[in-house]
Amino acid sequence: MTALVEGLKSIKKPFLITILIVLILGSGLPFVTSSYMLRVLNIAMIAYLCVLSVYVLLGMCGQNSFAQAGLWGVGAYLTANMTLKLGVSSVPAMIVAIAGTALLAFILGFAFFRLRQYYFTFATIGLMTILNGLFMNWTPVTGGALGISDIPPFQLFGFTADNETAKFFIIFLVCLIVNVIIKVLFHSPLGRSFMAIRDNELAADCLGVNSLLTKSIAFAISGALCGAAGALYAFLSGYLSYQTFTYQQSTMYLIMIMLGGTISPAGAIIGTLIISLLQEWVRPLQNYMQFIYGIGIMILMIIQPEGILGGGKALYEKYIKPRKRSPKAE
Amino acid sequence: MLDVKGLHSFYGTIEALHGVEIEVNDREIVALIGSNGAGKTTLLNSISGHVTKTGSIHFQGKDITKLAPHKISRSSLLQVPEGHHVFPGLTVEQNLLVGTTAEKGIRLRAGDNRELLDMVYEIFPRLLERRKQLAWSLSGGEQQMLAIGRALMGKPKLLMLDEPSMGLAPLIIDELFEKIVEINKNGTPVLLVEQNAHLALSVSERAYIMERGNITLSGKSADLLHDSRVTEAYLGKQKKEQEN
Repeated sequence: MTALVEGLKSIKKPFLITILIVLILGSGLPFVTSSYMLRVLNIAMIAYLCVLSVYVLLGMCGQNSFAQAGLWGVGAYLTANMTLKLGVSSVPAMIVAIAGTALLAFILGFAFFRLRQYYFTFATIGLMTILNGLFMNWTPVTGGALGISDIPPFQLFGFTADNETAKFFIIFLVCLIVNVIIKVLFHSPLGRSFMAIRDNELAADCLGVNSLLTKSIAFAISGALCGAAGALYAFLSGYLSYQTFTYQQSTMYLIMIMLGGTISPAGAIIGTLIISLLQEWVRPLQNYMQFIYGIGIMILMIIQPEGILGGGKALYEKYIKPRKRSPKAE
Repeated sequence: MLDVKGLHSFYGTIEALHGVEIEVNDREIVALIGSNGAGKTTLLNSISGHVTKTGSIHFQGKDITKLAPHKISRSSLLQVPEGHHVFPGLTVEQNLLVGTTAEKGIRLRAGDNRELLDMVYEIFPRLLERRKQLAWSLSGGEQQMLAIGRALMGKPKLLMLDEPSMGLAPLIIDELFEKIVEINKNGTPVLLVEQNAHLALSVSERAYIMERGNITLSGKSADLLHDSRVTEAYLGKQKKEQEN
């Protein structure tokens, strides 16, 4: 028991310190960056939540989905409809968006996960196509091709997040909370079941892991993350268009996590930041962007299939860790 | 304890088992012997719910014939599948902790598993040494120990081992089988599938011989070791040695 408690403590302390440092550094960001850059960061953080949803599903549970941008859209349109048409205030609307998207993912997961491995992935491609079709054509709910505009910004206790800095803090806070939740999930029996399924589904079955239910829960959690991202996006942008929630965007999330590395949420941060900032820095080259991505992904998969984080970890274990150890051994 | 009657198993339209009947009693090690393709693994997979079948399977008086695999595991009937099925990306200890799912189901909060872990580490001290290592870095023998230890975490009332000796060096096999006997002495009955007939017969009380999806022979292991039909088919080498 004591060893277990110690183990948990050793995990938690550095993590809490990291969270604290990120909190302090992050809080300073709005005061040193331009409002344009802040906008870029806000959108990047929303993308980060979606990339985390891929981390839970692919990195932890080993299931690949191309429907994440669609689920993101579901969260966004739910929020827009709740606030605009039903006059619900921000927080309950966000909760409904999260719960609704999670529920949708759970039910679909229960159906889809009767299919194994890449058959699930194919099913999600179908789901993405259907969702995008709905966003484009279901005019009473999604505004059709015109989209929905004038979504009110986030409000709580009379405070309105109508400027970029306020929006930054709200999204930043949600990102931090989500990170803590993911960390707890990682060390929970549920998270271990995800990883057991990822590593060896047959063995997991033999140990009493209900793989259908467990995978559906993983999909639901990833849906909840997309739902939260969708709600935040609706508050941030105030305008939703079907052109935002596309198959390409789903692919982009996968590229982000593959670039960063699927082994931990840190990979999601690295991948999201690099791609989001890259899009800004090389804006003049935009016409060639798809080309650069394509080549970049191929090179990455050949040289370092575990992403930047995996590569960094390998280097650390090869060069730095042995040096650290040797004085002790002597 | 385990009572299998009239078991027919199917892969699609192909019938793989033709009315198999076996039983395992309290505190026994029962061996299941047969050559490649005799249906030993199919029998275990049928019992654990991974293969389509007809017939009846009762475990501790309860009918488990129609239960889903995870429900069968949760009634404390645990299978260690053939090959070294560890979770390579998890540490040894995480691997063991997944084993508690069998008893407790899907939960968010970790309970106190220290006692169970200590029990497993006591049987397999090597796992304690390697508890923080990722499972892929273990040797074949250690992976097999981990797979068995992980099943023990689910507090099995019956442990089904599928070819634990597969691909291991003779010395490691001896060590592993000592551990299996030890686990059995602690009170867990074992259904042991083995190709190595001599080894299986020497550690078990009773044995079934399988051929082409049927049980062709059964009895006390000590008797079977000297039964001419067994020695000819499965212990051929030793018989020749005796004749010489």
